[in-house]
Amino acid sequence: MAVDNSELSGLQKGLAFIYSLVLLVANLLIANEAWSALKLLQQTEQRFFYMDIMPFALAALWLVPVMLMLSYILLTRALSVLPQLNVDKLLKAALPCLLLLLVSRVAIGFYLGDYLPSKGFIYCDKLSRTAAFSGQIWVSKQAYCHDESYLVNTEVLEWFDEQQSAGTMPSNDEVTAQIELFIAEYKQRYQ
Amino acid sequence: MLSLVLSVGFHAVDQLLNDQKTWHDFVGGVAADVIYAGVATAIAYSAVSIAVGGIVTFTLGPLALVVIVGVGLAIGFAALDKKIRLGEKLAALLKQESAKLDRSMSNVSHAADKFNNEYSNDTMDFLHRIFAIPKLALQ
Repeated sequence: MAVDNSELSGLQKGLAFIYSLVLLVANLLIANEAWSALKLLQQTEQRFFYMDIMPFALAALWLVPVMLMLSYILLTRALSVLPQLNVDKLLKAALPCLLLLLVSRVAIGFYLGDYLPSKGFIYCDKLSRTAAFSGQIWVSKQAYCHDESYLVNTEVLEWFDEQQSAGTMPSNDEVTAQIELFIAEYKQRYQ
Repeated sequence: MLSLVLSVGFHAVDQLLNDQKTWHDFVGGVAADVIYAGVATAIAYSAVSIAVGGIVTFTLGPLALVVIVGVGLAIGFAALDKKIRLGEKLAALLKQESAKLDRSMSNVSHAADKFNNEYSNDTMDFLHRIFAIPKLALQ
């Protein structure tokens, strides 16, 4: 399917350029998130507190080639000097990539459900965010997953990050006391 | 549309499982999802329309491409949201405003009680003060 660029208005060409950049940034974010997840999975011993894994970011690697192609096609719409790609190939590749995404997401879910518990990690829904594509939080000890930590998950995860980068290893009681302090502060603030 | 239905479902289940979560968390979370899904869908539809050189019709290829771009952007936004935490910020804002409103209502209620007591204790004095009527005594 050949598209005549002269039919596009200046606004559409401008939008095509912006969308091309947006798609490029989205691809970079997906690739970065998938790379971080893969690195985390290889370094489970070095994670003392928790791991934040986005299973969808790993599965979305199937989408990257399609989105890159679309990004280039949009760039050719904005800048007529670039050689054009055939949209038909992209449209044919779209549905298989979508199916691969869904199948991979299910497979990665099963894999993480086996692999991380074998490394001593426990899934903590109290610390995970509630959104379709958000990451899953896996903690290295049950004590780190306090029943009410969903109220203060940002503070708890930031505190874990500080301890991890400082290289300190507080006891279970100290961790529980710190989480309960965050919860008490939260309740004082809002309840 | 599907992501909105899923979002409401996710947050509703979250609300049921975590008894200390309030309507602020529900509204904040769904609002953030709506913003992200809306932006992702609008960009996806518009980008694919420009790429295929017309309005996206209900044929499999373009629609699958719109879904792919929408999902890709939504995952990109989710990666960004790790830092931004829009849903939690919206919920915190709602909680702050709700707490302010509660305090204001409490102050109003306290003032109303005070007026009621003053009226009951000395009605004439209360009316004199309210309407700034001077007290004239004949001797």
